[in-house]
Amino acid sequence: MTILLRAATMPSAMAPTFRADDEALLARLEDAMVMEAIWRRQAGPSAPPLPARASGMIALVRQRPGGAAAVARALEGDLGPILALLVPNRTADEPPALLHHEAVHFGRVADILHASDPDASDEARLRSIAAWLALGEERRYLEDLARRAAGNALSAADAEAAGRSAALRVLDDLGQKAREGARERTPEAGRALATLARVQRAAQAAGLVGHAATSIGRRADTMRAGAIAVALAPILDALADAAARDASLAEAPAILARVHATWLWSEKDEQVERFAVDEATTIGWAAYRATGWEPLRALVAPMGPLVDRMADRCEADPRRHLAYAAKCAQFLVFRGECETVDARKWELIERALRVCPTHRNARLIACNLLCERAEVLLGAGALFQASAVVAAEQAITRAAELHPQGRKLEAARRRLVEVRTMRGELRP
Amino acid sequence: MSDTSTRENLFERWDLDPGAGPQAITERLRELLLEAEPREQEQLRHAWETLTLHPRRRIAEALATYPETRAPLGRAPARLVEPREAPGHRPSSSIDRLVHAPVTAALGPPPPLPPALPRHDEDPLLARPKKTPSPTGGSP
Repeated sequence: MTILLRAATMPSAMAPTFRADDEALLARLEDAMVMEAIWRRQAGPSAPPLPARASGMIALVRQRPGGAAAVARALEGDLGPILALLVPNRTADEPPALLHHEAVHFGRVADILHASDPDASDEARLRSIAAWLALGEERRYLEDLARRAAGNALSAADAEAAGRSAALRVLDDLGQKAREGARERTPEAGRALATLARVQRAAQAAGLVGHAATSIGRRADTMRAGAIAVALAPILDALADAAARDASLAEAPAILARVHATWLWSEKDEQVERFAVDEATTIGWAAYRATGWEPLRALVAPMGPLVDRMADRCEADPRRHLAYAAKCAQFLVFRGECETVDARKWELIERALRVCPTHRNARLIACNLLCERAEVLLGAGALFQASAVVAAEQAITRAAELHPQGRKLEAARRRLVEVRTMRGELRP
Repeated sequence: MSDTSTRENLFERWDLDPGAGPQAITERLRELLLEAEPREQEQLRHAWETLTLHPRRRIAEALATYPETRAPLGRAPARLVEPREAPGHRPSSSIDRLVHAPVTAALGPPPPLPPALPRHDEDPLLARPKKTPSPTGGSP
């Protein structure tokens, strides 16, 4: 692959005729070879060829620290060093023209790999976004190129604005793609949504800090929220329609299963969790009042993973999710009440208390469960087991702390006194 | 993904300089139009309309393609052998000159060539005999 006929390595008789122009031409040919090798490595052998201008990226890489050596290694077949240099980063004093090359190039790689290798495509897309963001932050390059392209057709200010907006166009395209496929929850829209979720990482990679990084993150979040709202809109319509026909209890499980599918499609987005908790709480009470536990069981089944995730969020940052803590805890109580296994039931109620320590229903049910446990501990065996009596007393104490007016509390206390009297610990 | 990335970029399709303004684009497309087939002429016309009549679209297309950052090509090497001096010499293409130039240099100066033959129109052997007036004064 290497072309060895450099002026420096030539016989003296030949050297004078190998001119600077020849050297430049040779470098250009080598750049084209390296660019072709990179493209084949990244995009595969069947990808359509790149335009000849693409090799200008290698010419710019040559001028970077370590660039000439990386190109030499690439000519020997080792693309590792040069690929390591192709990481957009404004803080590394990367020239804007190289950032522009990277922005276009990684965009092409992402498009080519879109169907065959989604992970590699997404990574390339993030690099492209990082390069565009770095260019947008630099501003002058895009403004200058836009002015030249516009000629006299636009005012300088309009041309510069058009140039600057190009840096954000890649985000706009992602947002549009996410919205377009949101209603049907297409995989393409889901991937656009996932890429938007990682834009903040691209901004950091591009060297954006402070307000610039925050602003880009907010822009991406807004686009995500818009697309998710589009996905949730038909579900909201279905819930309203079912309520109008008084069919909420019958149809809600299937409708909430769609919420679950939307949640998975959106990579478990918080917005979907909030939607689910908000919309399902009212129906949950209706199911709770219905005969038997089956309606409630059917309702909470698709909601389980969403509520668990929301509960994680509430526990991790109680202040931020304060408004959702009570609703989330209520759903955990609903699930707890549906459970037939005591250990699982207690686990869910305790979790509800961690999420929302003041939740009245959770405290009441926890109080009852503790009293029931104390009754079991104070059974026939308690007469001979001091540890059982101690454990029952602890349970009753905690039950009283949780809900002093608990209806089972008085009976548990009475039973404790009876057992201790029988054991001779108390005088009759 | 975007409109400009799912289809071929017009600057790339017609090998236009992305930094060029509408006049330069018009000139280049006019050159291409002269040699284009009817179907291509339609595409060229569409490209011209898109790139020259819609400045914002032109900017978007220019930014969506690789910028020109390659080193300029420079001058081609001087011709080492004049075709007129070498009988039977075939004019070489630029790529031939590029490939052979270092080899020619390594071989040293070219050996003396045999005396060049005169051009056909200058060859006395091929020259038409001069007309001599016939004795009768009429045509031969």
